[in-house]
Amino acid sequence: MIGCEQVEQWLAQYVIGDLPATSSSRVREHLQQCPNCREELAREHLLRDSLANLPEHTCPPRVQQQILQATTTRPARKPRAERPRLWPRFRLWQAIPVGAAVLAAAVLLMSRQPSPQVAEPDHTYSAAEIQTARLQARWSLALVLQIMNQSEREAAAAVFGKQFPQALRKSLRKAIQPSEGGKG
Amino acid sequence: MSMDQADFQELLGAYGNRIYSYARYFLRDREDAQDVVQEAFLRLWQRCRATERQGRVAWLMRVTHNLCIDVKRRRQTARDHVRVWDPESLAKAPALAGGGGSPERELELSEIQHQLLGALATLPAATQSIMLMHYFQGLTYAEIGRILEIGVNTIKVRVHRGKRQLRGLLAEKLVDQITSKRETG
Repeated sequence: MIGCEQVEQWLAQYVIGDLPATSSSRVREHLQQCPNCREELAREHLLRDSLANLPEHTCPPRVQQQILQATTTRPARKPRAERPRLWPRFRLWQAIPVGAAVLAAAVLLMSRQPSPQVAEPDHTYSAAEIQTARLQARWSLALVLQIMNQSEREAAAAVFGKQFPQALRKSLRKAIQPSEGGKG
Repeated sequence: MSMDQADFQELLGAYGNRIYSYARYFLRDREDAQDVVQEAFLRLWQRCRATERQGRVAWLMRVTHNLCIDVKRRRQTARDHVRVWDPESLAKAPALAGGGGSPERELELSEIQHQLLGALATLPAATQSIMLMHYFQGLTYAEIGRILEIGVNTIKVRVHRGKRQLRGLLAEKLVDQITSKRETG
């Protein structure tokens, strides 16, 4: 059998028939044997009858007029599809690879050493220069990803799916531990 | 589909008095209640995204609930401020004393109703609001939960606590009722 505490919590719903049938019959059973809860039920009825019978006030016509007048001067909210778009829709998942590519290109450009002599430019890079540029690009990518906030990470994770955390981990691992034989 | 004037007027006609009554019983002040109902409907017109009537009504009630709580909070802040800096004015400003409705405005209420409303005003704002929604507006716990976007268990706990605080008053009134019935036979 349920206790008085539980019956007290259920009384408000019991009175209006808002309890499932089994709970309702358990309350009824308890009430038959508990005078304290029967008193509580009487208080519940008094509270309910008093507040349910509070008279309804009439909103003053002046107030209703003011409300209607204000709606004629202010436009209603339009659904999102109908609202004019000032900017192209920003998609974070498109911005990440573009941003990372721009950063990597900037790093590659900056890592080129200018030739001190006026000679024909050499367009080939050494293995060390390539490795340095890759390392810097990975660090930049890791930095971009670290400064993303939680909602941005979630948006990116929704695009990359389960691969995203692994890709990030790999990228960070390669960037952080080049001296320990990380892949160049 | 955005709301048109006809939809809005229909909602104002169907729910204007109900929202106003709820605000009046919550705030116990005519002017504050008028401000709340005006602001609630204007926000409904300008900000509500719901396209179905039921969603719009729930949105309206939630906004009304939030506005009433804001007013009550502002009153409390003003009262605390006045209490610190100008305690004499507090005695002269019944509106700041919380539940600024004067008795003459509530003539149509029975004594128990008047006392219950006074007692409800001493409860935490969220509890007071839920009690009025359930007992005055007749909303079920599930409906209140959808409107306020809180769980049914939270509502149960708040109602339970609210009733505990009203227990003394209710017990006293119950005795009066029983006595009165015996006397009238």
